[in-house]
This record gives sequence, C-alpha cells and structure tokens, in this order.
Amino acid sequence: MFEALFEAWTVIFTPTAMAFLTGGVLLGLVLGAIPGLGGVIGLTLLIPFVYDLGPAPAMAMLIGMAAVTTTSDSIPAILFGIPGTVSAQATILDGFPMARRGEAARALGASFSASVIGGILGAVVLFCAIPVVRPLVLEFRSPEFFMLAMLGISMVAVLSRGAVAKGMAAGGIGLMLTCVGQDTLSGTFRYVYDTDYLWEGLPLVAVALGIFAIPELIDLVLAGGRIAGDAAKVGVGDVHGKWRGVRDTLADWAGVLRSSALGVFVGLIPGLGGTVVDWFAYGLAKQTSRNTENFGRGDVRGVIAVDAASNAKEGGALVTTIAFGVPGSVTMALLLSAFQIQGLIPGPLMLTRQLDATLTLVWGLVLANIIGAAICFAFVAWIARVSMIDVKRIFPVLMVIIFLGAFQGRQGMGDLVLLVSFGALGWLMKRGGWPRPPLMLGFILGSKIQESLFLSLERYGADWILEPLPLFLGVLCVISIVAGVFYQPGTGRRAPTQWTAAPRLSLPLALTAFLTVATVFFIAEAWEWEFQARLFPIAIAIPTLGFIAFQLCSDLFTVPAADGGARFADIRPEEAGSRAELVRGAVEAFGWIFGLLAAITVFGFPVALAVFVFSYMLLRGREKWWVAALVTAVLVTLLYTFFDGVLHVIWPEGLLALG
Amino acid sequence: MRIITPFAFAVTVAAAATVQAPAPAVAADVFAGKQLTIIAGYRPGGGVDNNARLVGAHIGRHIPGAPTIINKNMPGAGGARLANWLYNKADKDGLTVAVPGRSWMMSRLLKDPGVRFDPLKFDYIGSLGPVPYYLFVRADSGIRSLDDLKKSKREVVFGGLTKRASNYVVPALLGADGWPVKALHGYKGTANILLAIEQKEVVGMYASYSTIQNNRGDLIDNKVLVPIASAGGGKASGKLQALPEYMSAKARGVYKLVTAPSTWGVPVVAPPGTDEEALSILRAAYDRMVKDPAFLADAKKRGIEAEQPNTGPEVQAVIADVLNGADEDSVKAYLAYVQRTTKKK
Repeated sequence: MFEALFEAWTVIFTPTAMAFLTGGVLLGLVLGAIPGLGGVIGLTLLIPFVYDLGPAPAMAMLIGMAAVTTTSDSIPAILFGIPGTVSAQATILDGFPMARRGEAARALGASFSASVIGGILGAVVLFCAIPVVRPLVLEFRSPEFFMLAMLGISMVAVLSRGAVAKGMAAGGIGLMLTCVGQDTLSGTFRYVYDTDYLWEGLPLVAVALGIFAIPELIDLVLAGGRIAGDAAKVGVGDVHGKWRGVRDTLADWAGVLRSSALGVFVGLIPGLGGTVVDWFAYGLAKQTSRNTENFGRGDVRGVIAVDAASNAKEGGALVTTIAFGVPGSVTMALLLSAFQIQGLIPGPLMLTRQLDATLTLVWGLVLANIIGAAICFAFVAWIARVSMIDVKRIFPVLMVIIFLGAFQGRQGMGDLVLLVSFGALGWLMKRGGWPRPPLMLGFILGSKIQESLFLSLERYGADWILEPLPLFLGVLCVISIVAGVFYQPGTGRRAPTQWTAAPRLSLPLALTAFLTVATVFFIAEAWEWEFQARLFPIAIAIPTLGFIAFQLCSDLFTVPAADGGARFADIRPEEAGSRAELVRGAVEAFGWIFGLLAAITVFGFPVALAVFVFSYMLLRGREKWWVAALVTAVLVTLLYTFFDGVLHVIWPEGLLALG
Repeated sequence: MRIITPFAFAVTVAAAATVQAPAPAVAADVFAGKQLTIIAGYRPGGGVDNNARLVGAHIGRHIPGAPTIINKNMPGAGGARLANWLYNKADKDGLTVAVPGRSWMMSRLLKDPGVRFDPLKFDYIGSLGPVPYYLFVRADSGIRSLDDLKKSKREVVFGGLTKRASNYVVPALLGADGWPVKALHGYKGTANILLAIEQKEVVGMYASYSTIQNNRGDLIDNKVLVPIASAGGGKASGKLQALPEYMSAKARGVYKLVTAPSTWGVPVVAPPGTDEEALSILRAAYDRMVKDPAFLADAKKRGIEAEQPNTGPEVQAVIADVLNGADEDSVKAYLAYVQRTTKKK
C-alpha cells in the first residue's frame, strides 16, 4: 500500500502536473468565492480541454479545481454572510458575526487553516480506511442510509435549542419544501401547477441564497456603516488577526480531528454529499463542545468545525465515486465523466490493483488543499479589508452577484422569484427569532429520507428496523434528539415564560400567521392526491402545523424573554432603532430588490442589472455620477464576457426584449 | 424550390434572374462566419449532454462554411423545458438546434403539466438511433433465461429509477403478468442501482450494455451481471430470448410505449418551421457526420452507442408512428403505471 502511495506521488509531483494543478486551484478559488458558481461550472469549463491533455496533467487540473472551491467559499460567507457554495452555509453562522465584530482576518485565518488541516487529515484518515472502504460502503443499504439521514435530521433538535417549537416547525417546513416537484415514488406532480420549472422541485442554490444571503445583506444595509461595524481596531492594524485564527484552529485540535473524520465518513457514504456535511459538522460541534452558548454569535469553533469537515469530505467522496461509480454530487458526477474520458474505469479495482491511480487523486487533493489555502492565506489582509468598506457602496454589486448566482440554479426567471421570496422569508425568520438552519437541513435531507424509507419498506418490509446497524443508528438518533432538547450545558435555568391576556401584535406574529395559512393550504392541496403521493406531505405538515400553532399562541400571548430566548444556532438580529425605523428601512431595501426583479422581467437581465447598480450607487450610495457609471460599466463588461462569452448562459428575455 | 437567404437583396436578384443559385455557394453563405448553438436539455455530465457535446465536436466539419459550434444547457423537466423554449421562443434561422433528451416527446401521451409544444411539429435533424436493451441479473441467482426467471421460486427484485423509467416499468409489467418479479423504483442514479445489486438489495436491472459499461464495467467483465433476455430497441446481439414474445398482449402494449425512446435514441431537433435551406444543410451534415470514422471513434471513447443512426425524417416517422399509433387501452395502462391520476376524483 505504501508502495502505491509512493508511486502515486511520483505521478503527481512533476513540474507539468503541478503547473496544471495550480492552474486548476486558481480557477477553483475564484469560482468558489463567487456565490452560485463552483465546482460544477469549473468542470464544465475544463472538461473540453481534458481531451487534449495526458492523464496526469488532466486529472491534476480537475482535482485542483474541484478540491479548493470549499476553501474559498468561506470568503463571502465570512465577509457578507453569503455562502460561496452550498457547503459554506454553516460557515456563515459564526464567521459572519466575527466579521461584524471586526474579526474578519481571524475568522478567515481560522477558516483557511481548518480547511487545509481538514483536507490533509481527511486524506490521512482515508488512506488508513482504504482496506475497509469497500465493506463499509457495501454495508450501507437503503435502511442504513435512511437511518443516517434521520440522524442528520435529529440535528434539528440541537440546532434549535432554546427555540424548540420554532426549530421543529422550521425543520418541518424544510421537509415540506422537498415535496415540490414530480414525486419519484408515485409519479404525481406535487405543487407543480402548470409550469415546467417546478418538475424537479425547488433549486437548492436559490433557496440557500434566499434564506441566508438576502437577510444578511438587508440587515447590513439597515445597520449602515461598515461590515466590521465601528470597531476601530480592525483593518490594516489587524493583519495579525489571521495568525490568531490559525492558533484558534490548532487549539481546537480535537474539534478539527472530529470534524475531519466526520467529513471523510459523510463523503464515503454514497449520495449523502457536500450539501449536508457542513450542517452535520456544525451540529456535532455544538453537541459535543463545552460552552456552546456563543455558537451563532461568532464562536470561532463553529467556523473551524465546518471548514475542516467540508474539505475532509472531498477525499471520501472521491473514493466512493471512483470505487463504486456512485457520485455524491453533480461535481463528482462531472469529475467521474472526465476521468472516464481519460480511461479510468470506476470499480473495486480502484481500491486494489489500481490503487496507485486512486492515490494519485488523493495526493492531488492534498496538494491542492495546501496550495489553495496558502494562496488564500497570503491574501487574508486584503480580503479582510473589504469589511472596512461602507456597506451602501457594495450592496448593489453584491446583490447583482447573488441574483446571478441564484440564476445559475436553473437559468430561469423562477430562480429569481424564489430567491427574492425566500429572501423575504429568511429575513422575517431572522427577525422573529426563528432558527434558519433546521429549515435548510430539512430541505436538504427531505427527499433522501423519503426515497430511502420507501425503498427500505418496499424491499424489506419493516424487519430492517431491528437489524444491528439500523438499530444502532436509530439509538444514536434518539440520543441526539433527547440530548439536543434537554441537555443544556453551561446555562442556568430559563426565566419562566410570562403570559399576557391581551393578544400582542408584532412582526414575528405576521410571519407565524403567514406560515399557518401556507401550511393549511399545503395540506389542503395534498388532500386530493392518491394515498402514496399525499402520505409524506401530510405526515410532515400536520405535526409542523402543530408546532406553528403553538408558536402562534406564544406570539400572541407571551412576553418575549429579554435574551430573545436564544441559544439556538443562528445569527441574531442586531439592534436597529425603533420598530418604525426598522420597518421603513426594510421596506426600502426590499423595494430595491423587488425593483430589480421587476426590471429584469421587463428589460431582461443585462439592462436591468446596469440600471440597478447605477441608480443605487447614485441615489443611495451617494457616489459621484461618473464613479457610478464607471463601476456599472466595468461590472456589466465583466459579467457579459464571463456569463455570456465563457459560460454561454441563456438569458431570460425581458418583456421588452432588450437583452 | 424556394430559396431563402439572409439577404433580401440576394433573393431578389436570384428571383429576377430565375436561375437557381449553385447549391454549395449558397450553402456556405448560410453558415459561413456564423455560430451554431447546440443546447442540451439536461445538465452537463449526463448521457444527453454527452450526446449533444459529441455532435458539437464533429458536426461543424460537415457544414459548408464551417460555423463555430457552441454547446449550451437548458436543463429541466426531463427536456420538456428546452422543448418548450425551442417551440415557442427560439430563432428559426437554423442557427439554434437542441438535444432535449430521449423521452420528452412522450409528454404528449402523458399529458404532463407545463408542456407547450407538439413533438411532431419540430424539424428533426437526426438521431444516433436505437439502442438494444437487456434484462440483466446477478449471475449467482442461477437464472440464465426467461424460463428460469418465470419459474423462479424466490421473488426476483429489479431496481429502477423513477416511476416512469423503463427500468422500473418493464420488470413491473412482468410482475403484473404473474411472474415472480418485483420492481423497485426510487434509486437516484444508474450507479446507485448497480451498488444495490452489489449489496444484493436488488438482483437485476433492465438496461443497455453501454449504461452498465459506462458506470461499472467490472460487473459485466467479472460476470457478476449476466444478460438473460434482449428487449427494447435496436438489433440485439447474441442468441437471447426476446422479452416481448414472453409478455401478455396487454403488457406488450405498455411495453411498446415505455421502451419507445430506446427505438429512436437521442434526437437533434430544430424549431418548427426552421428555414428550409438551413435545415436541409444541417440534415445532410448530420448524415455525413454519423458515417465519419473520427466521429464513430470519438463516440466509442465517450461510451455512446452510434451504430444504427437515423436521418431526421426517419426518426420523425418513428416518433409519429408511436405517438399516433398507440391504441387507447395501452395508453391508459401506460398512464396507470407511470403516473397515477393527479387528482383522486
């Protein structure tokens, strides 16, 4: 085995291969840092070149690109609260509050060092695990997969600690959202109406950007000033913050090790993949660390846990992909087809006779992680300085990037409508003290749970529940829920709830009322379908409605606790003056966003983006007209050359067909 | 013959002179210096996109004027989203063609939501033609033929993707005919079914050779999986029993519909009413391309079966035959399999 390891090293560590690897890394870093873009687009761009390259440079380039999108995706997550790829959603929870406190450099330093250590540890764990990979993966049939997904869902409990009803309801809503689309089990079109857009359900990118990115941007604008707040210590003087971040990572070595091992495991299980690993890691960190009350308020361990796991996962995912041909994500699927062009045939031989080929790829991963993190690390001071810019000056540019990112989901107007709608929902949730992570967890795991449960029941009846591995996972699941709800380390007793007789009207009440109506509508729609099609939606929606109804009463008749009742894992809303100011500011900010959406509908994409950026900078950013014009021109030119010239995007036509 | 060129002037002159312009010169005019866009109806990385990119890599050489070729993607609704767009929005100058998928045309029978096209009105350019399918089972099941399968004492489980996928419906039809066969659907991808086969969660799969070869060639090479019957489109190899002959008449009606896409492959289509001259150039180019040894070698490298190509009119006729020729009972039975009525009432 060590011989293969050495042989693999000589293949990858040649000047040519390393040059292509570095080229891939650079592309991957850029794509990872731009929300909505990522490994999928990078591979689509690179695969045409693979035909003309030899195996070693081709694989080095592809691996280099795919390995580091999860390194740079924390940059927008930490700076703006915008996930760079779907693996960086949980990075936001603590990374962004750190940037708001003026600790962007520290957060970035911790993130990059955790990424590279996670990436390397992941590879080491993987190497040691190679003899057991095949039996391990073969052990995970549909029932085991189902129980694993349930274990993931059980994280909802710990993620909503302190706001149990809201968290459960949010998780339920996430599960409900996965019902949209053609039901693979019954063939029924659920909540599709007369569209072709909703056949495959809601696109993850638009939902994730809506739920997390838009609310953070709105709140940034409401708060005004710089991202790093008024903390004067930040900026040029705090370039050493990055070393503090590195020390944080090293100090949390146990957490890094745990997250890396978890990442490899999640990566190895076929079909679990990158969208869940960050939540698993975050939930596990919150469950097993001491003094977790600052998770969601800028605890550096939250950043470290997530970024170590998301880079460690790649090695596991890669091995499953090539040893079983089962790609865990679209990126892996593309990577696999590129490997096949180079003559690599997936199968168990990749773990035995052709182990050196597999290990070449693992070496590639390790080297890419090191190079990627080193490059990012070198630029931390510059990156962190972005947090010193006045929010109003970058708001329009960020908004345009989010719109374009969401648009990459399915390249349809529906992407944008969903982005804005989920943006509004996410903002109301954040303001109303609803934890958003359970919603994302439910949304990501819902269809996996549904399909694997169905397969298990159809194939094995109910007998599998008492088989050793499913039973063991089931017990873990129960422990996870019970511990999540009842075990509250390091906190005293909660203040008793105060009840009032007179109903109170508040902003959170509007959200709860809306969710009540929506859930009732959801149930009513499902009621008419045949049994198999309505079973899951109704089984989920009824308890969810129960939690929402409980919350509705609570919103109406209780006085909110002074600390917002909040120990749950999500970014807390900041103080924003009086309620009237808050509402006025939010209406204005959403006005701009809806205006952009309307302008795209009427004028088409390119024109609307230009008008939006220019007018916002002029009217709200109070820039000089020529500055606004210059920025707009540069942005539009960049977008046009990249999205149109390189990515060949098909834009939706505006009503006036100007685009 | 009506000659349409982009330049009204040229048309006027040609008409005035009543001389038919020499075909090669005009043909070169149509595409010279232009960009031909080929859009796939699925994401990059899958079979449909592979097909579109294979065509994109080769067809340019066979079009007079050698246009630049650009591959794009408009995924969604199993190709129906692209078909909608092509039918209602795309330019008809011959510079935009599409590879929406294998089975989007079945939407007409399935009465899917959001479908706004008539599959028979597109201008078909060509397809790589039928692909033979087989019933594969684990060799250690001891089953070697359809007779063995029919007589099996144990229930034989076949894995499938979705409710409307042929790899679910075909074994389900056998089950309905009273065979000891159980069809399971809900697997995320072909490779997941093959993994389930390794785990012995399922015993067999209805698939083409290339499907398995592209995902897990070792399962065939090591004889873990063996074919026991030939089925679906195309000329089957070997002396296997033909599945349709063993089915009841009722099952055969549904079988014909659900496996129809394997009889026409992945067609390249142009919007309805595409410029006639451009269309005939594209069709001729496609026909030349599929005979080009460089193309065939590349197809092999990409794991695409391209041995029995169809011309545009041929594939159009095959599709029309299936869509118009289906008897009502079979359509009803087909619908009952793939998509139970959306509303209870």
